[in-house]
Amino acid sequence: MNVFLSMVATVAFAVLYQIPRKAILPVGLLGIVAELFLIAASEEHVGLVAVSFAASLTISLLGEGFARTLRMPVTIFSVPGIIVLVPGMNAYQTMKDFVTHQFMQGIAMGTETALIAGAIASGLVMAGVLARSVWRPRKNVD
Amino acid sequence: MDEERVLRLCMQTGLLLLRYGGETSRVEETMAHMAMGAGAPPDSVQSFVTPTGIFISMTTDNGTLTHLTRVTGPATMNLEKVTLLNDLSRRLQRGNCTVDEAFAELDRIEQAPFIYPRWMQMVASALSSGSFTIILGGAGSDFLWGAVGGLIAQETTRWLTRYAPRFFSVLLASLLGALLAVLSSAIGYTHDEGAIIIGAILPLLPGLAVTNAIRDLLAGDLLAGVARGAEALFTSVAIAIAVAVAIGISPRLT
Repeated sequence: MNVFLSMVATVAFAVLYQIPRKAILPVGLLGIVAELFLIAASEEHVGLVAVSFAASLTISLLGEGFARTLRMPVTIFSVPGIIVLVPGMNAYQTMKDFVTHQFMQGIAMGTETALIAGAIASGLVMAGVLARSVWRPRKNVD
Repeated sequence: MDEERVLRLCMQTGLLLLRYGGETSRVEETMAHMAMGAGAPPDSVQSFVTPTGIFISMTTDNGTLTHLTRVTGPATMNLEKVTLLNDLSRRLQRGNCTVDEAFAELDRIEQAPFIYPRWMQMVASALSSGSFTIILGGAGSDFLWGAVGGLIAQETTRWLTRYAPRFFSVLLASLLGALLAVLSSAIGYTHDEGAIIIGAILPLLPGLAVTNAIRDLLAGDLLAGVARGAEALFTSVAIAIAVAVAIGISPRLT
């Protein structure tokens, strides 16, 4: 059920950015991939930071692949693709801790949130660098 | 080659790209490709693009020509049009299209209606917020509250960005969305207040700004990357403040 909802959420988010119709199916697929990573994380008890990095790297690489085969900008795929990974619950918990004066918990939670966000960003960066170095020669021929 | 015309074509394309949410490194690249496709000698065109302005100059035997345009007004995300503009520059570069045809195509792209009309966007923001609410642990009945909250938040920003700075419109929109979640749980109809709040503010997250900032920094466009990053940070702070206010009010209501 959650997998289906992730796909819906991802595609609907993509519609807000007016992505081309041809890109909808791949984007939905990326949403599913993201949710599968999260499910695996909770079942295998792997830390969210590590999983977020792996998921974001995978999704961005897939996105770079889609972008090249479909001849579209990468942002079409990577922006909606990683939305499911965004640590919304952690961020919310952080704010809640601070508002209720539980500063120590808030700082701990906030640090984890920041680390997850950093991991997602690093995945994007890594995929971007890899794609640039691997695909650059072909791009010049274009 | 009519330098003036080529430069105007590049500038117009760059402006549209930037307005529809293309990253600045893409804008620079596209303008250079277009100029070459239109017959400018390689490396004769230099451009400097920031989120708030475009500079472009062309140096030929006839001298140097420079254009500068300020980018004003709120951006309207439209990645489909970014794709179309990209295709156009590629066609021009390959020689499959003349400068005149490119101008006509630019007008067509600018005037083309959005592929997803207004009502579809409203459905989409409700659907994504609702789904997200359940993914984050909300019960089935929370879907509706999340969806309504998301719809309110999205429509509020869309309406307000025309009159107020982005920080304010996002702040107010996420406040309305979060307050709805808090109110609904105060009445006692909900399962997970947190999930609804996060679902409701989902459409406001600066996803494109963050991704563009990272891509710009990677491409070596330091100034644009930092500027976009600051924009994203600004938006996030607005959302965080709104959520904090809503949570603070929450215990008083029950």
